[in-house]
Amino acid sequence: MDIVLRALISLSLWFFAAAACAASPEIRVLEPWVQAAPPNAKVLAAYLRFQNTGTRPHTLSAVSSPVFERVELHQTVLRENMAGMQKVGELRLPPKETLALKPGGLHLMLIGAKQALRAGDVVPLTLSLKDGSTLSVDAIVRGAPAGADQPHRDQNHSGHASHAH
Amino acid sequence: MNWRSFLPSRRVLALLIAVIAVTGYFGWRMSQNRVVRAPAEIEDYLFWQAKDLSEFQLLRAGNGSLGLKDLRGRWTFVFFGYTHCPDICPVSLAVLGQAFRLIDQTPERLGQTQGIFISVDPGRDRPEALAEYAAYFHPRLIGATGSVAELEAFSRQIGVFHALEKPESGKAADDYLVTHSATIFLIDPEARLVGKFSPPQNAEEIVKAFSKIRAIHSEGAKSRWTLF
Repeated sequence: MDIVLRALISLSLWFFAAAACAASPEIRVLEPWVQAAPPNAKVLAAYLRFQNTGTRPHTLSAVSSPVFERVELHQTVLRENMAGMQKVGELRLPPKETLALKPGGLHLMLIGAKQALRAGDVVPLTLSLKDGSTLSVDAIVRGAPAGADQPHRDQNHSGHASHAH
Repeated sequence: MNWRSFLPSRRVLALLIAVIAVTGYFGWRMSQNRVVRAPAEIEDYLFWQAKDLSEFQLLRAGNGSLGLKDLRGRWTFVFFGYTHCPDICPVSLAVLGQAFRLIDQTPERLGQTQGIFISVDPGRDRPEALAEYAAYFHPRLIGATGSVAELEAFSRQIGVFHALEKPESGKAADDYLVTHSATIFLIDPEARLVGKFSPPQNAEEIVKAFSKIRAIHSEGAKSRWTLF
């Protein structure tokens, strides 16, 4: 019991330290996840929420992942039930606002999977902001689509897991 | 004045008899064709009138061809997309897979229900890979594609279109996006297009509506049904 408790304390302290030395502490990334797709899928989509807790605007300029060849910012446009996609160059994160990337809207298009990903796997993402700082988050691959009625099952992969270098 | 002048002329009499005969005939036909009214809560999921599909040919992933006979005798959910689609397609197919698992828990079970994922991107989607892709979401989901002309002919019957976008400058020729329908369509066992589920879809919503659509279908098995 003692060991478990001590481990928990040191772990939470480590998270604290990681958050404290963040280059961009104003940007928080909440609930990053990846929609599970068949093993032979060439592209996947990642979703998350950005929270700008600061007073100045930030801009997301690039995203990368070691398990994908490249990552692009895309927006699904639904018009009269026709789905089209548009590439988005940058993403503005206004102060005191939360921006959600979700199915049927803004998403990170993960292109060229280097390995088959299954539900439960982790996709590391590096988010680069225009001011030169970066954020690293681990997105969990989830089988069920997220909806308003879908509770988030990945308790330990919320914003606490995100830290900046 | 002659009392005969109060009687209708022969011409008017003939017209009257004709009107009565025509009205009677249509009245009798309507009584034969009992109209089944769809409950208001599923109006949004139904087309105003069921549409008879005519013969078509598609390439069934991993197993020959797909035609009108493959729709008869079973309920079919149809979704158009492509496997290089990261956002809409996996989400809609996952919803459909989830709906199939839920339908299998209802008293009616899955029965003869099937789903067809039609790739409108035959240039990149090989039939074998398509079969694997579709079955991942549920074993009752089959993959299909076809030549550009075959896909267009079937899309026109369903009333949707799709477009392959040009690759961005500097990108490879096979690096393009596809604009396509995001609606899940429902075809009844008589191969008639009856229902539609617009995005964003929800599995529970589809299952509830499907069960009601099946109920009115069996109620009016051989009669016509309408929204009015």
